[in-house]
Amino acid sequence: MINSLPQSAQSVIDAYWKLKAAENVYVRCPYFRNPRSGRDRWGLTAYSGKGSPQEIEDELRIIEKLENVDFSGMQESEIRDIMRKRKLGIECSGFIVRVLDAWTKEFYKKPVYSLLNFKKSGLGWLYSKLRPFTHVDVETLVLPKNAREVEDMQSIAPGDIIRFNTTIDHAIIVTATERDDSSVLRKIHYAHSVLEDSGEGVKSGLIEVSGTNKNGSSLWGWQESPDTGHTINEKGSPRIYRLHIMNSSL
Amino acid sequence: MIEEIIAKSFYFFTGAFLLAVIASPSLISFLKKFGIVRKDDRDFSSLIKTRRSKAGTPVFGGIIIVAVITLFTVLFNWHRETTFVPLGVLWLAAILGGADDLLNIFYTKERHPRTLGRIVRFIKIHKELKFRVWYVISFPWQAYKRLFYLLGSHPGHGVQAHEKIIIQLVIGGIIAWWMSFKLDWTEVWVPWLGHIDLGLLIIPVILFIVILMANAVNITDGIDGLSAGTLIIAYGAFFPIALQQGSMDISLLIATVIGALGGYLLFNIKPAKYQMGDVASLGMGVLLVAIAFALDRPILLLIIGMIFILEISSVILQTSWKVLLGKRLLKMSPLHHHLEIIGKEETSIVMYAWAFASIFAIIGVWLSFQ
Repeated sequence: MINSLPQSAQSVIDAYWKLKAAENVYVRCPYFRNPRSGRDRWGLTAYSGKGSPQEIEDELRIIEKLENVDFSGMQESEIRDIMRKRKLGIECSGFIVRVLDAWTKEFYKKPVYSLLNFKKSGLGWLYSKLRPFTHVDVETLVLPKNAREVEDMQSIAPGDIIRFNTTIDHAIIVTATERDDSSVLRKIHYAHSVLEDSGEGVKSGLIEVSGTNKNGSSLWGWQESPDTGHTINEKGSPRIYRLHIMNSSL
Repeated sequence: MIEEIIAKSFYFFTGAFLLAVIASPSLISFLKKFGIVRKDDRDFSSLIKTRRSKAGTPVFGGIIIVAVITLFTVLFNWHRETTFVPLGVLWLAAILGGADDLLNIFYTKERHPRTLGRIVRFIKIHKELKFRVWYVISFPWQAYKRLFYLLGSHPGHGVQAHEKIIIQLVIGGIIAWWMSFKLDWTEVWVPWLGHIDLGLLIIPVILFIVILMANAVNITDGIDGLSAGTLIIAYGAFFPIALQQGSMDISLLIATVIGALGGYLLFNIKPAKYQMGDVASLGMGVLLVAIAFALDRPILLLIIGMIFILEISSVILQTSWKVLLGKRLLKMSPLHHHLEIIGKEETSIVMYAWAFASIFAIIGVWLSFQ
């Protein structure tokens, strides 16, 4: 039995996978994370690692003009290099929030940020209302006011967030789950935007739950597409969170 | 009287025009020889690839305008009560703009202010007490610097935005002092309503208009022929107003400015042989304000200078959109770069701007006669 994200959310993931750079030229969105201070934080959402696929595509049009290049005759890797040079991409929380946004707009008829609590107060709160996508990070998503930790991995569901908070704060979103006839979890599909070595960006992955070890802990097998020789479990131990707003929609 | 002003103005215009035309080739050679030329890495508009052909074009060409105006005014039109302050503020702005032009070319060190978070950390952890105290005392100044750094598009060299604002405030202060205390003039003329006494409120009004127009003209100086053409139209609109008031000194000053700008424009039409630079663009804005106040028509700057207001508004709105909403209103600001990016020809943009400026100049002159 397969349980997946609704089509509206899946189409956002697809859009990041296939950003339209030119007619019949598509680019997988690279990773970009903005620093916490500096001009990038004050600038366009698209350049702060939080842009929607549409916003990033709009910037691609402008970059094409600014660089005086023709994307229609270029390889995907060349376009991705230009995007990285120009700091255009998506970071992990930006990616998750945009996917969740499509879901909440369909289910609640509201953008996701209007359903989340921000950790800011005073002027920061006002600013987070003006440009909410810039202010949603992993920490905000998993605030107790916004989410609860899912202790039993067997109950994991599409829309859940898996957080890796060791060397860096990173999160991925569960896009689908597969269970056998006795409802035992077998596979977890996920998507994320991740920094690896010299780049990377939006990736999808599969976790195969292959049983339990002697201690009773689940054994997870990870694989990712595109295969870069890395998987996200290198980032440390995962913890699963479910947004409160997802409870009623599940 | 009017015939005499027109006749003399013609001589001033012709003389200024010819001097600018004759001196320009030598100036262009001089600027090239000493490397006072446009450099791509110091200019954000060079992000537009089609503008990269502008690299190597001499900048600082506006010095010819400032020099010709100065020469004619000092030699033939020097009056303490009318032309002294306009010329003085022109020179102050020219020094500021000239310093910015030259530093942008020759100063190699990056100038970026520290982040406020870093200063707060210094306040907490610096090992020496005197530095911690200094960082606390200077915090408002650092915040002011940082704010203008974030709002501006400063490439990291030259005179920074917060420094420009201070110098422009000084220039505005001089005009305000001239108006309020030397001429004892605190009224503002409004079409159909006549004169309204603002009292000392005239001072902040003057400061605001000086900063607005100086930067607006500076921003408009972005593509070949745009600023010089629109400035000729704006100064040209004030000429019949000066005639109407029978102001010989200001009429002659305007005629000189138009002549100098006309001579410069011959070499600035695409492909430009040289570019104005901040040395004149800031000064031309300030001088326009001084003339508008001298003619008791500052309110008409909002009409006659509509093209400049439109350009600076595009920058303010773009910055506000980016900072507050994280979105882009235009492809690039100012407006003329937006039009370039969406595919308009540089020469078409200039023609449209001249036409737009002309329409508002005519409206401004008509309003002045109401």
